[in-house]
Amino acid sequence: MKSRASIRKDLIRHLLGWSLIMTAIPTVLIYYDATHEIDEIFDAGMVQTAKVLDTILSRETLAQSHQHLVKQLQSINADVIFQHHHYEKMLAFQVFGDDGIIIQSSSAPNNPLAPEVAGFHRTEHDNNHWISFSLHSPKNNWWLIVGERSDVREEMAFSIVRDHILPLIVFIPILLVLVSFLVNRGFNPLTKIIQQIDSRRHKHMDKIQTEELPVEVSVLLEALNNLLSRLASAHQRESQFVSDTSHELRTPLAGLLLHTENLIAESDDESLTSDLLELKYGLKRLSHLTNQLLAVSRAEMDSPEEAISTIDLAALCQKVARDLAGLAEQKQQTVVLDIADSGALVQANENNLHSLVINLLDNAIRYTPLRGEIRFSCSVQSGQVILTLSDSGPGISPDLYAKVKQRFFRIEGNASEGSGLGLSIVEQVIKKTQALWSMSTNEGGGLHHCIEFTQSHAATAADAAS
Amino acid sequence: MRILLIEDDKLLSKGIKTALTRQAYQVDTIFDGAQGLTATDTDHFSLIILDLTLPTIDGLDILKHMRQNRNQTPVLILTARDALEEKIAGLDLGADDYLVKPFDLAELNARVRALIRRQSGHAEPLIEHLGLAINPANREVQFDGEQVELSRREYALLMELLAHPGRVFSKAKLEDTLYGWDTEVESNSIEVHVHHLRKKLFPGLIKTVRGIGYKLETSL
Repeated sequence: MKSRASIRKDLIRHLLGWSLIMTAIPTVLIYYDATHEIDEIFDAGMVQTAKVLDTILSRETLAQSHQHLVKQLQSINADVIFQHHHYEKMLAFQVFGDDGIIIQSSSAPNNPLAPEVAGFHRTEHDNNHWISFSLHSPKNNWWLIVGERSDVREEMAFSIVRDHILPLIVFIPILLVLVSFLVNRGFNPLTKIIQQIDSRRHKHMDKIQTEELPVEVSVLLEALNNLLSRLASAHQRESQFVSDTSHELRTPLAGLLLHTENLIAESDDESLTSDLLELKYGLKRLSHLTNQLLAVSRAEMDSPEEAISTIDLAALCQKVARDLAGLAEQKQQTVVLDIADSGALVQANENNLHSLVINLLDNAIRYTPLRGEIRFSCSVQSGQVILTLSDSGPGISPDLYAKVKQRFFRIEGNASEGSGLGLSIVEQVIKKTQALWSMSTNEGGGLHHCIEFTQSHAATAADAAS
Repeated sequence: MRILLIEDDKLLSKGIKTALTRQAYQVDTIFDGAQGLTATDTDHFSLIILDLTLPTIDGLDILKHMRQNRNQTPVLILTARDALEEKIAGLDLGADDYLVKPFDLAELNARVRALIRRQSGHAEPLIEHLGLAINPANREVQFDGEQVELSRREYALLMELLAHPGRVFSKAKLEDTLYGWDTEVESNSIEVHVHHLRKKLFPGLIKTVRGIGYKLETSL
């Protein structure tokens, strides 16, 4: 079977996917929002700085203290006493006129940061991106430029996003582990039910019982139990139908058989008598088939009344052999018995076990030719009761061993009068009593059955009574 | 020997009646449980063959009723069900034997013979009486070693008297036994059969008890 959707995998996959998407979308939004806000704050700061500088600087003040100012500006980097900030290198200002740069901060590049156009600019100098604000001072007839390296802003935006995303990155794997744990725990009742169903025998149709179940599973289980009970009753009806039919057939069959025998008794015409004997033979076969059908339905029905007890298989074999001695005698067959004296005790239902033995022996007698030999043994070997049956018949080809156990299967060209149900009855009983059945070919080419039962050590009812 | 057959299946009932009639039994048939129950109460039979599944009253209930009323007539149960429990239930209620359908004619005859024999107090299959030797299995009658041919009714009459030698049987009872309900009986038919039996066997065998009926002589 192709592997199909798994609720467990689906849940985990979807949870993972959606939590990634739900993390990514706010992160992108936060990044853009932060960048925008930072830009506004920094831009405002630059405009203000430019205006302040423009107010306090003039050509006169510069002429008076140019030397001092330049010295101060250049010493910023070297002066340890002067408290400065590492971001200062990324901030700069320039003042330049027609005669070139008049004054600038030490962090500024040596050429104008921005063109002589008022407003904001983005430029590149020495592989650094700068954002700058140009202001023209008509009073002094110079350009005042305040600039910032753009990576300052990027760093800040990144830091904000990182602070936001870090907890999520830690949280997602924890969520995943938690989810798969919870999903597994949620599926536990299902797993238990599956184990229960798996361990069932095919005809066991009682309700599935488990302790408290979640609502979702108990609904499924209820539906399943309803189906099981419908199946069980359908199965029971089917078996009951076969059983009823067989019973219903018996009365008219008995009538037909009696009338035929009455006719045979009345008839003094030889050819009529031989026809009537054919008719009687046919009716006998029909009776046998009816009885076998009944035995099949009985063996298949899992009726609770089927009491299991300890049965002496050896005694049962002796009894069956006696009952069928007449049949073997008619075909002048020799039945060699080798039955253990004691200990051949088996736990089984008596009717079923009787069906098994009688069908096995009956089958052997039917398919073994005239004057053939049948060996029938029952022995006890290391905790097992072993039943073997070997005949001098034509045997069965090994590839048909499984098929002869099916109902109504007959080997082609086999002209015996069997019902085609005997070995299928044996198979049913074998399944019920959990015995092992193997077929093989013996030295003479005939069929050899070997059935192994677990030996029971309990006393039989008869022993217990005595 | 009069047998009551309570079986609702007409085909089977007719087959059994034909078969048993050939064995010189008088067979009366009833197809319904309630009528069967009445018949067991009012008439006397040597054997009742009882089917278990019957309309109106179940076979086992008829059996129960009979035994409760101290009716000791042997009962042979006919059943389509061969489950052990049902056989045991039938026997426990007082049935004397059972036959599972379908059965062989030979088996039916053998069981009927055995039940009637036991009821008459004979355990052995051959019946011997004052030089008579009767084998119910093949209905052969010998007198002093000589084979004697008897008609079906003559044989039936002899067997009925042989069941209780020395007991007086009324003419009416003998008519019932020989003819059941379904045949018109001529008024002197029993006398005719007795006359034939005396002639074929020996005159002193059957004694006429005036005004009452007949009895079988117990000693010569």
